Amino acid sequence: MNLVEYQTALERMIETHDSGQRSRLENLATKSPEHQTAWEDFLIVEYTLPAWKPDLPEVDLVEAVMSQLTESQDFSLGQTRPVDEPATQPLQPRSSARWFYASTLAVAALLIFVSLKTSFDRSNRMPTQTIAVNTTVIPVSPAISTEKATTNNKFNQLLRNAGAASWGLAQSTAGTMTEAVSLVPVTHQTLKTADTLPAESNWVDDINHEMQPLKEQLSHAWNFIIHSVPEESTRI
Amino acid sequence: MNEEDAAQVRNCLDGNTEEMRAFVARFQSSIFGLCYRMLGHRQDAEDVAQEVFVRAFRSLHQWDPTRTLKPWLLTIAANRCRTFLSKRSKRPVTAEFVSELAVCQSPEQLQDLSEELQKAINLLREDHRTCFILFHQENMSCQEIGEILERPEGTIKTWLHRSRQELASTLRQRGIVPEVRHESR
Repeated sequence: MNLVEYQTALERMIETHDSGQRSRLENLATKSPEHQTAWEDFLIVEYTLPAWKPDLPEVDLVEAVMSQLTESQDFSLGQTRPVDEPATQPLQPRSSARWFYASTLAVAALLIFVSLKTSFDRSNRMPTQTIAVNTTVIPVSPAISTEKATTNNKFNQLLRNAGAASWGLAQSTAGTMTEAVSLVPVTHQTLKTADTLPAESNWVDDINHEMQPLKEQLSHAWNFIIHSVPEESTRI
Repeated sequence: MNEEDAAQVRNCLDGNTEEMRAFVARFQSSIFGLCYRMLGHRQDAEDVAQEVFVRAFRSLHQWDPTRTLKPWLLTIAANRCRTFLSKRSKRPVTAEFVSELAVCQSPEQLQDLSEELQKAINLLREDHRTCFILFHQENMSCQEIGEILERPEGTIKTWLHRSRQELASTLRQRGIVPEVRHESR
């Protein structure tokens, strides 16, 4: 029996509480130092468990719970639903929730990319500052001047709308992702981006700033996923 | 459907205080046990266990009769412990808890296997810890634990074996080595 087979047999014995294979596995432990270590790891836990399991302090919570229920003036059975009550409906597969968050993120990223690309393309094609100078310096007919100003205003309005929409979407996505990975222990991190922001920020910088916590949350979510899948499948 | 569970819930919902007392008495050992093992602190465990029962009574009308009561209550308890641990991690650790986690060096204390194992459990990742406690303290199957923690059975098995490996490693570092005997061939 090679090491992988040996570990699998050990794990199966633990999972099923079936010690039928115990003596056989004990004898096989001498096959290699790795076999021996796996067997000793098993023994160490088994050795301490009998001392640990019954070592629970006695407790009587009946009176304390009843008095708490009585003290709650607004209490009546079944009045409110706590936030962490387990779902009583059939559980939704977690994978569907993950797909939802992933899809939301992908759509948000796509929209931001498209809006940024569109605005930059237009910026390159239209020298906005020159137009503004020309309209004030060169005398032109009132009709042409009005037409240029209207085009400019429309373009600026488009930019503002795209910026506002992208920012709103980024905020919403960040909020959603924060809820999605709330189980992942997050250490407090100081925002370094605040120091590097320019004095006069525009909406592109605002989006970048807004996306920073999202990036951090994504990193935590990825770590969470890596720790959730079997080690054998990830080889990590 | 578990008839005993359903009858007890009906009586509690009718406001029968004796049934409510019986309800607490029936499950307090399991709920307090999980909280105590998870939090490593008796007073905290009592507070959280009480909160679990109060919340359970408040949402008892939404309990699904097709589920057994104990896993339902353990799910609430696991969630409350998680919330409590999250809050505790954001405030300074009390001196009492520090002393409970302190590494003991004397050989006398090393003999106390239960204490050693509990200290090693306190160092586990939260989900691994819950999994280990439910499996070994409550004697639940990996499938039942998966339902409580809302994770696939395979994930629970992985967590269980990783937690055992980490515990063995910690205990080994603290000088706990089993007597290994092999049959002579």
